Amino acid sequence: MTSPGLRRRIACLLLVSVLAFGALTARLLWVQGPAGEGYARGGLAQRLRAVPVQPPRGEILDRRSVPLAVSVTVDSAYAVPAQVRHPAAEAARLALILHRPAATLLRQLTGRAALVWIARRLSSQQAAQLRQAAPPGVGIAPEAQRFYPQGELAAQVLGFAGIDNQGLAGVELSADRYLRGRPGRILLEQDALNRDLPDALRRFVPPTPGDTVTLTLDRNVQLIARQALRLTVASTGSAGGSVIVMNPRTGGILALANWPSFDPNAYARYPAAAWRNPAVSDLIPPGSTFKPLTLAAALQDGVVTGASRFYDPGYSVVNGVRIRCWKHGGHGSQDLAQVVENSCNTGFVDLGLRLGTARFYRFLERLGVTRRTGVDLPGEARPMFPRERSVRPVDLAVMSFGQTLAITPLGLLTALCAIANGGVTVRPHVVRKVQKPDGQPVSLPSHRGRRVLSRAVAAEVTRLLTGVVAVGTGKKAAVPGYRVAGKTGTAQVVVNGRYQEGAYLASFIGFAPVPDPRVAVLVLLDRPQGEYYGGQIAAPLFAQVVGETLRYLGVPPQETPPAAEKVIVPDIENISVGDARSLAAAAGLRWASRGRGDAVLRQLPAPGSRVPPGSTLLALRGASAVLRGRVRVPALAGARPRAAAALARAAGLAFRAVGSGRAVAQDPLPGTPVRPGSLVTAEFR
Amino acid sequence: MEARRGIPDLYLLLIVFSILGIGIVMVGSASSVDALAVYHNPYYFLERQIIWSVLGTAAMLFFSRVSYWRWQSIPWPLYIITVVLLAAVLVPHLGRAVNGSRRWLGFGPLTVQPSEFAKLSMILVFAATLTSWKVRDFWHGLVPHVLLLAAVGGLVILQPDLGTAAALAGTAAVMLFVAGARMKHLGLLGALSLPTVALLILKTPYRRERFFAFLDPWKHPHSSGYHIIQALYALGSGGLLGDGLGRSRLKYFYLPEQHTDFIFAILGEELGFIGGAAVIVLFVLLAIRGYRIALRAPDNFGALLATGLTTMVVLQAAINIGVVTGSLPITGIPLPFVSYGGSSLVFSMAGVGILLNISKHGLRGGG
Repeated sequence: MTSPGLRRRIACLLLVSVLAFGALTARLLWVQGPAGEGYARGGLAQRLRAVPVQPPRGEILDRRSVPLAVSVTVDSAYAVPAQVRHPAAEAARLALILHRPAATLLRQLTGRAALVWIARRLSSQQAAQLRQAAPPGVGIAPEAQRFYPQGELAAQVLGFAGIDNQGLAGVELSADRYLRGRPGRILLEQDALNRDLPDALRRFVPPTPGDTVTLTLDRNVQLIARQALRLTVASTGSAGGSVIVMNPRTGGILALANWPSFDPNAYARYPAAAWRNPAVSDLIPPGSTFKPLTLAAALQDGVVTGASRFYDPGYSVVNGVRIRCWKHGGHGSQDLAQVVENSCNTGFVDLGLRLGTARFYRFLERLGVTRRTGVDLPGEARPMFPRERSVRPVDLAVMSFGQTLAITPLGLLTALCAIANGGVTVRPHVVRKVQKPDGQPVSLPSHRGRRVLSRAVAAEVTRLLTGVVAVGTGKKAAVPGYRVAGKTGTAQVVVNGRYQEGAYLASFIGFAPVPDPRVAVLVLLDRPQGEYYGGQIAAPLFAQVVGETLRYLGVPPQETPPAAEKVIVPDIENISVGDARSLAAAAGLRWASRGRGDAVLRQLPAPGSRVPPGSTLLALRGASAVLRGRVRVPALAGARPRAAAALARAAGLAFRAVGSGRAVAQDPLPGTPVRPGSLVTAEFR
Repeated sequence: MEARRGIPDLYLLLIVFSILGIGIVMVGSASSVDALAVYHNPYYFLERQIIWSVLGTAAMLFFSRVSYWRWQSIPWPLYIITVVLLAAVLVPHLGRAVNGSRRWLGFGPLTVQPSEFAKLSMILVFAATLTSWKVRDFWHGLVPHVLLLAAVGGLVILQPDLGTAAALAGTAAVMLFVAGARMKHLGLLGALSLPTVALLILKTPYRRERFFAFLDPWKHPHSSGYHIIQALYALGSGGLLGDGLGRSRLKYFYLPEQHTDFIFAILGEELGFIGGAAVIVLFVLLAIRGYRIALRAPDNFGALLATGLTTMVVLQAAINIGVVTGSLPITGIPLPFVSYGGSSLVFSMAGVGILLNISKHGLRGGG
């Protein structure tokens, strides 16, 4: 028999065990009951993997809602490496469909990533083949791709978006926070090794599309500016150039064209330098185009009046330093209007010295020209002015006619707008409005102009500037039927702080019609060959852009233009018939066309010819092969490699030479319509 | 002491086979994902667990037929074998290490865990010595037992296998208590050993963190708290009724040890609180039948032996469930008859065999 003490203790033990298990049952009930829901949520959260779904990027429209940048849907292929069963065999098969190296694909299929893109932006044929093959672990997802229907038109303003639809340049970058949208996601229930669970839970959170951004840009004004610029750059042999058309009342940019340009649909094929917007990002010595600001400062501060007289012996001496006027022998005795009309440096030195450094600087600061304009485009350069303390009288004298300082073309035109706007500053901008996908407007930062000139002074400066065009150095900027105020400029190109011999910037800035200006325009030609005076080569370009734009905008002429005046024939080749017609109308020419098709292949008379207004512009229409944004391959036969390269570059094409000597064969053949930036190969023998 | 042969406790048999059956099903479900990934055979662990169950049942039948008095006469050979095997594990080329612990002895394809053998053998040794020595005597009764336990427990700790050491110590303490050790002496022992254990745990920050992880597992969710968090996620996902057999989510590589030490979490996820509570009830019934056999044993040796065997199973079950529900610090103790593992299953079944043999000799009626 067992002892009673032992049995008592065993009974005690039994009791303890039952109590312990009772406690554990209670604990289990708590964990699986009241507390269980929280734990279950935690467990679910760690199993759910979010695959981001890119939102469609917002559209960019011009002021009249013409699409400038849109998003189209394309298919992309992705792989979930954990679900791929036979990586080597699959990589080989995919390589055939996707035209990618099998080794690269194999590395992706065996990688550690939960999800990897194996081919972006498939052709419809590739997508169909892949859908049919349907290898395990490989899927197709729609992606948004950016498309720029206008090709290289306004390319540097629009910029472009990268492969993941992120804005990389231009408005695409500066307005990215509106255009981007909010990504949605697909939630997948997966195991700890990132593979789908059986009967997995799936949830779809849709993405929020980006906002629609409407620009102040007008596609047709942009077209006018681009075509005129291209023509002038070609005829003057310039390395490049810029045209900015602005509304002087609001600061809204109607057109901003640079040449050379690039096609944002194929931005990667152009050098990164072509993506820059030199009108905003480059500093230039303004030269004489700065003189209107000096003039305004002097008149506003009352140091001169319209009755003041000046004497130019051909130079002025400041603190023992002799500063020459551009005209040998000098302009002699002049009144203020003549100083301006003649762009007389000596006269402006006089104005600057009468003002003094402090007053001159205060005025420039109030005008805002010493700072960035704050334009809603990326990469704006900061103006460079000598430090006020270190400015000696001789520096002040030189600054008075626009040297030793550097500002952006846009900054210069913005400053001129304050004069055109009756003395109140404007802030330049390209974004006109932003709308949410549901049409709700997004509020944008507003700008209040500062009055920097009295109305009377602004009117007086304007009057003096009309003299430049009427009788002074800017006669070629005259637009038949409209009163134009403006100023010529010719500056030596500065590279690394040194003036370059024989390299010039020819420019013209101005506005029209006076006294109620609708457009302010800056034109700039970089390193023209031969003639380089702004009044000679920039002024005609200005006149063409202003004339065509005012006619396009329907601004009634102030007076009937004299019949003898001639107009410049616009370049209408390689653009659509509709665009060509509006350019012809803007130039004041009658339209006629031969043939069928929606594009203009050839024109008569040649672009740049001067003809009486109302003459007929004949367009030879071509088949739809020549689409908007296409260029024709130039004929290279017989050219030496350097000349052939220049021809190709002028047409906006990439070039490759094979052999040396003279061109004997080329691919593609002359006249073939291709996308800008396509490669042309020529064989030399 | 008369030996009356009777019918073994069939309720105990039924309870054990119920738990074993649930265990086989759960091992099959919990291990399938891991088995497919590692061995390309979802039934890898299930097949082995079935084989081990057959071997365990054979061992149980064998031990139920060996008269339990035989074990009273051989405590010293048993003790020496235990010590030798446990020491052999620590020898570099004999013992096999997994996850940094040397726990297995390999004989060709077969591996055994001497610590599982020690759990059984120490009960047999203690039952014999406690019957003959006066355990109420501090120096001549209690201290020699403590030394015997310390030697074996020390070897187990060296593996290191703190869970088994705790189970051994706990069972031994219960047997000393039941054998009549004075509470004063046990209290003194406890008071002496507690600071040592506390020092061992609290000395190193790593062990301290692990030990207290169960109080706030989210403090270190990716290290010391990970197991407990995953176990709680599993139990919480199961809720009261469970997600259904085979539908566990946590077994997809989230919960480690899903078919061994943490199998109860998968059971709770698939079968819910209902399933978990059923298993607990089965262990309570096992405790009742086991201690009933002890109460009805014909002699003190049988009673002590039955107490030890029952306590070992019940204690491990309680600690295991306590760990999985986040109520106790993590100790690597399997859930008897449920967790995957050959040695544990065979020796536990052998213990049940001995219990059945004792029950055959038990008193009938009121006892």
